[in-house]
Amino acid sequence: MELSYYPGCTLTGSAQELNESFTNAASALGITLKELPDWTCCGASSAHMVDAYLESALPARDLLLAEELARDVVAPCAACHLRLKAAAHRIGEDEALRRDFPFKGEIKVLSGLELFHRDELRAALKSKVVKPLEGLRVVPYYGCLAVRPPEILQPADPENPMEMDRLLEALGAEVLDWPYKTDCCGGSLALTRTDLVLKLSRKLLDMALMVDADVMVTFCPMCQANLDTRQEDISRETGHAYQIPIVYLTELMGVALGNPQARSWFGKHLVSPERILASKGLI
Amino acid sequence: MEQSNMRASSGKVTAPAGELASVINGCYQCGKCSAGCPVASEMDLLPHQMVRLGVLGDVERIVSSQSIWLCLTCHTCGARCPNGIDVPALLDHIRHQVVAGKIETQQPQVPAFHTTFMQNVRRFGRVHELSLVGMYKMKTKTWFADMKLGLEMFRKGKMHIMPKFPFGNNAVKEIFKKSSLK
Repeated sequence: MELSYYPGCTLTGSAQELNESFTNAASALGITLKELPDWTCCGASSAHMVDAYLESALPARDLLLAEELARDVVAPCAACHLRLKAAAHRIGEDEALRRDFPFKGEIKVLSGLELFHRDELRAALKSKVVKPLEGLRVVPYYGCLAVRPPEILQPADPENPMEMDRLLEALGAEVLDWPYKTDCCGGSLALTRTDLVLKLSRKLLDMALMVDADVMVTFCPMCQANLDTRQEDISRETGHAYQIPIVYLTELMGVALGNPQARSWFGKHLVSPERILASKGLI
Repeated sequence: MEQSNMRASSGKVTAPAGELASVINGCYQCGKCSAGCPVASEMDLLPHQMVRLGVLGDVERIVSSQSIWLCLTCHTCGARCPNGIDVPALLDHIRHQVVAGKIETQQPQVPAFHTTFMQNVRRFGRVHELSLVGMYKMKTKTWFADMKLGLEMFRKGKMHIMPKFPFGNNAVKEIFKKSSLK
């Protein structure tokens, strides 16, 4: 399978471990990713806050580039994926925008989760597992942008998504039931109202601790950065040491598939999952 | 419907009209949006109250609220609304005018961050995280917040010193010319 690849800005910067683990997982499953040449920023969580044209036109440019190549495009970053999908939706409704960006909708925009969750890929993944994640207690954390807004993303169930649960089960992990799969971590106010973000993130971390999770698993680079980097502040504020690794699903795919590079990804985390994974004999 | 198109707001910000107005007019104030909002406890106007003000055309109260910039755009409200009203869509309509009109608001650091972000995109075509954080700190004079975290991220190789310049840079600059952030 050949797909265009839209890494987005974050995967070239603070979420390099998502970029590397995602491309490794894709290649292990026989997917050829071709980076979209000359891609530019989708506008992320900021364009829609400041200007209606930027909100749609920035991702529309990337959609046009992708359609010229006549291949479906995958965007692992949850924000990029939403912005591209929302722009495609808007182009269908807004004639003026369609004139500027004549995107016909002949290609699909895929999220990373949507891609790996396909029946044939999930089966392939399961058959390639060499190191089942036995005994690893995980909570799947989808965050907002994997399921909302539902009219754009059309999730099977916006309140209780199961895609990541099923993929983690395929890897052999012990998937825990917990109530905060899609509760917001506060990411969009990370730098502007850090005090609020600490509260929201702490709520999630507390619940993960309550169900005795070893790691929290996500696919969203904003959630990962937010929850990983704020644990030191939360520890200082509360007097309790918070040390819950926040790992990408694709990093765990790397571990289960026996990818020797996995350790190098964990070096990028502030709260490294290395110790817990080593204690379970997984790395 | 026609009436809603004609409603004038007292100041620089226009009330919702057209499609947006007809959607929010369906609100029957059940409060489900406010019940599920993760930042409701911090808000001076709750989501269902903002929708009501939008219906009444009293957008000035939303402009001068804390809530307009505390909204996380997590879309929990919209996903649960029985009438398909997405509060962030209403707020985006107002936020765009606040930014374009450079109207003074509460929580000014929030729009400052988003405009800094967009200036970074205009300049480089892609986001360069290190200069984004630097510019934001310059704008808000918050030099020392998160300094330790920033250094740690730098040490881990999560921040790049030099931005990359994609060729699409000029196309992005052209797109900005048609926006309010010229």
